[in-house]
Amino acid sequence: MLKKRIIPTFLINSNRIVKGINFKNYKDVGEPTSNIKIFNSQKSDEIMFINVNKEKNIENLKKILKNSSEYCFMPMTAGGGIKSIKDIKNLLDCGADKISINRKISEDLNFLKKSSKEFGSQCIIVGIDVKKINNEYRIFVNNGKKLIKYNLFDYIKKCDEFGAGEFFINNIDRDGTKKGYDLELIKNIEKYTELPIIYSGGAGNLGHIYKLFKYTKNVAAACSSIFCFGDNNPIRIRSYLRNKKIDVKNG
Amino acid sequence: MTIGILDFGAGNICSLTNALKKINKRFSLVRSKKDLNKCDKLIIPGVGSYNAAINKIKKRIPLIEIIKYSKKKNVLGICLGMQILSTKGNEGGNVSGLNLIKGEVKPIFENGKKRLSHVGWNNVCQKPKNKLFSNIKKNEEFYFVHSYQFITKNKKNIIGKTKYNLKEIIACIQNNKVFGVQFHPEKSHESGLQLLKNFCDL
Repeated sequence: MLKKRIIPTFLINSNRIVKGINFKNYKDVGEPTSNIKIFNSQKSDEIMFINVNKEKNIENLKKILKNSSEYCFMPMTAGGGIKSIKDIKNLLDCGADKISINRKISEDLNFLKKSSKEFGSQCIIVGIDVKKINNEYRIFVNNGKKLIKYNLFDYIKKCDEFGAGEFFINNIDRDGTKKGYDLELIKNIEKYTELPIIYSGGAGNLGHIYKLFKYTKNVAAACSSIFCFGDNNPIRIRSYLRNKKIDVKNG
Repeated sequence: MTIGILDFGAGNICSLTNALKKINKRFSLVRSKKDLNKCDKLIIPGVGSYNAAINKIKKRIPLIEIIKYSKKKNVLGICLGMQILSTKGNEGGNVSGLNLIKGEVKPIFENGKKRLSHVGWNNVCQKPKNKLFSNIKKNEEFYFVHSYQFITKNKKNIIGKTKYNLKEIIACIQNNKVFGVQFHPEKSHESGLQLLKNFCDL
């Protein structure tokens, strides 16, 4: 059986890992390569590096991937600031396995079609940042600053049609708050796609991850604060979930 | 002993070279017929789509050279690299493959309609005593990421299976000297590295 995935997700600003609250007030929390070594040794399911620097320049990300991939025998996703097919190719050449793209796809759905045709749809993750405005879930790009016109659920259906491999949903309202995942949002999204979803925003304790797995079908738990600010690691989380009869990876 | 890695400009060569470095195997990148004939074993990596991959390989090496090579020396296809060992595929338009293992590559569908991606760690039920699985636990977990699957009628070529949404998916195939794995051993922690080592030591 396919295992439930727990994915440490790290935001990259120049050469450092940072973490904020509601996509703001980023704090320095560590160095990427040493984190790769730690999470690899704990047999993490996967790892994600998302670029949040203002210039959205992927040069730093490339350097980090190149240095880290040597120690990384698990899948590695990179994202943030991808503007072209060449950017994707460059990041894959540096050791990324999957690429998460947010803004570029929202501006040009054909870019999704083109990139999944070139690299295979399994390689392309559609990143969507969501915030509630007037009781309606809306999509934002540019680190939560720019609202885009699409209706969330229409956009998900469209991206599914245009060749997405997975979705990476970021809940801006819950980001860094450690209040738990917004299950209402994810359950709604699940109605519109059968593709795997990586869900981020709100995980503050192991019970939150358990609830996410218990009440969803094909959703992976992206976690950041829980690792950056808590005494947690993938082995401990898997063992907790296994005791609660959730099917997770061994070890 | 040198392991050749087929470099056709679309695979995640970096992950694979890192894995071979980690298990202390010498390797070289294969970009031409000349490179091919210098290596003792060949690994075909794969990120990309079936059609794009076949066309890119053809630009560097005639497919017939890889077919001839596989009669004498071991070949391992990883993920898309396994899929293009088949007779034909339909990702990015119908296209003929290497035809080293009879079969076809088709999308993973549920109830014949919705598109599915098989992404994550899953158990692989392995054919006992196959050398590719030496020192690997029964039902060990490996990392999969694919939205197309290999389908074959030749049961004897199937050496590993996995289960997704209650359906069986072929995880490993073999025909004489040719092997294919749908998962990514270079991304499957220690058991993946062990599998690569087993292939190199065949």
